[in-house]
Amino acid sequence: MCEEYKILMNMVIDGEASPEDRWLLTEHLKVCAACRSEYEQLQYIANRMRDMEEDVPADLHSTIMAGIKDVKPAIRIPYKFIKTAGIAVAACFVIAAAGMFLPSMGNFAAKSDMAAERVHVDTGNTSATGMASSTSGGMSYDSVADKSSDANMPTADAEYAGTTSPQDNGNTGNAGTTSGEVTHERAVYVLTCNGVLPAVIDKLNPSYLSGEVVISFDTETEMLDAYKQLMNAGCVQTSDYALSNECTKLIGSSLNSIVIIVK
Amino acid sequence: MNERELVALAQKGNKDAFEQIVTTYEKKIYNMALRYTQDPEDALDICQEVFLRVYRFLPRFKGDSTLSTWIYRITMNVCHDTTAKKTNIYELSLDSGTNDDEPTSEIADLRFDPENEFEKKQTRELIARGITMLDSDHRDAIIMRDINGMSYDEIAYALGVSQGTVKSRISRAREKLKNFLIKNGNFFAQNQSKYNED
Repeated sequence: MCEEYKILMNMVIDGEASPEDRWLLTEHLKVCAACRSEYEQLQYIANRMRDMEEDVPADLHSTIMAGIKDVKPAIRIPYKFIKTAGIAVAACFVIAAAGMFLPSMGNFAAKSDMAAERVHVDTGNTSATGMASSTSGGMSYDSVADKSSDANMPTADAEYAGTTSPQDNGNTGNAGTTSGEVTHERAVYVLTCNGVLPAVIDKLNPSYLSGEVVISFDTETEMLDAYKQLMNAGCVQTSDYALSNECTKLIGSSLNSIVIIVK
Repeated sequence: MNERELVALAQKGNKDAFEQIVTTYEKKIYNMALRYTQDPEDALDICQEVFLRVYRFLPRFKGDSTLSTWIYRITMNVCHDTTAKKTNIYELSLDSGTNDDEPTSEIADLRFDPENEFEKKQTRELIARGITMLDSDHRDAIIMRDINGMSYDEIAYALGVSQGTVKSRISRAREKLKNFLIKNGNFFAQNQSKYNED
C-alpha cells in the first residue's frame, strides 16, 4: 500500500478528486495490487456507511415540535457596539492563568485543539485580584484563542492553525503575548455577568477589547433585562449577524447569551 | 418556496415554516445522532435539543453557510455535549491496536458476501460500533461525509478547519474503521474482488 495515494483514494471515493487526480489513481491501481485492494476495502466501508440510514421513531416529529411549543426565538442579536468613551483599564487587565482549558467551553474546546486562558478583570479597583471572579463589581473574561502552540496537536491537523481571521486585533494579541504560551489569532470573550451589568458595559469598549463578546446569563430573564440595559445605555445598535463558528461553540454550552461585536 | 424563503419566514416566527425545516432535516439529524451515540433514546433527545437551539437561534442565521451546514454544526455540538456526560468504555480502543483487554465482537468470523443482506446488516452494525470508537475529530468528519453526504468544503466550514484537515480526518477515520472490521469481523480476508460490488 502506497501511503501517498491514501488520501487521494478517499477523495475519489467521495467524488472530491479532479479528473486528473482520478486518472492518476486509476493508472496506479492498474499496476499496484496492494493499493487496489485498499481502495476496494475503503470503498466498501463508504458504501456500507452510506446505506446505514435508519427509520426515525414515530414520535420524533411530534416530540421535536412539542419541545419548542412554549419557546420564544432569541432576540435578534448581536449588536454592533458603537460606544467610544474609554476608561483606563490597562492596569486592571490581569492574566490570572494562562493555558487553562476553559470549563465553560465543555468538551468541545478541548477536543477542538483550542487553547484558552482565563482573564480576570476587577472593575472596582485597579489591583489584581487573582482567579476569583465573584468579587463585588467584578467580572470574569474567558478569552478563547483560535489556536495555540498545542504540542499534542496531531500533525495532520496542523493546517488548522493557519485559519486566521480578518478580525484579529491588538488587544487579544496582548493577552497572548503576556501569557507567553498562547498566540492569539482571534479571540472570543466570554463574560460572566455576575449581576453587575454596568461594569460589563464599561468594559465593552474598543479601546479595551475588540472582537466577539459573549455575555452569558443564568436565565433568559436576566439576559432580556441586560439587553434592555444595553439599549438604554445607548451603546448598541442592532445589526444582522450570523453566528460564527466560535460563537456556535460557545452557545453549545449556554443558550442565555448575548453576543456583541465590539469594533 | 425555496429554502431561503422558508428560513426568512421561520425567522419571523412562522411556526409552519419552521416545521417544514424540521421535516426536512429531522431524519438526517436523528441518524447523525444515532451514529454518534448508538443509543436511540439519546438520539431522540439530541434531535429535540438541536431543533430547540435551531428555533431559538434561527433569527441570527444570516446565510453565510447553507442552513444544513449550520444545523449539522449545532448537531455536532449537542452530540459532544451529550457524549461528554457519559463514560465511553471503548474510548481509544481503535488506537490502542494491541490491547488484549478491549471488547471483542460477538461476530467472530463474519465473512463478506455481497448477496447476503443479513450479513450486510451485521456489517453495518459493526461499522456503527466502530464509529463510536473513533476519536471525536474523526467521528465528526466521517459522519458528516458518509451519513450526511456533506462535501469537504461544507465539513471544513462546519468544523472550522481547513479542507486539508478534513481530507486527513476522513482518510484516518476510514483507515481505523477498516482495521476495526479486520480485527473484529475477519473482513477482507476472502474474495477481494467482491468488495467493490456497489
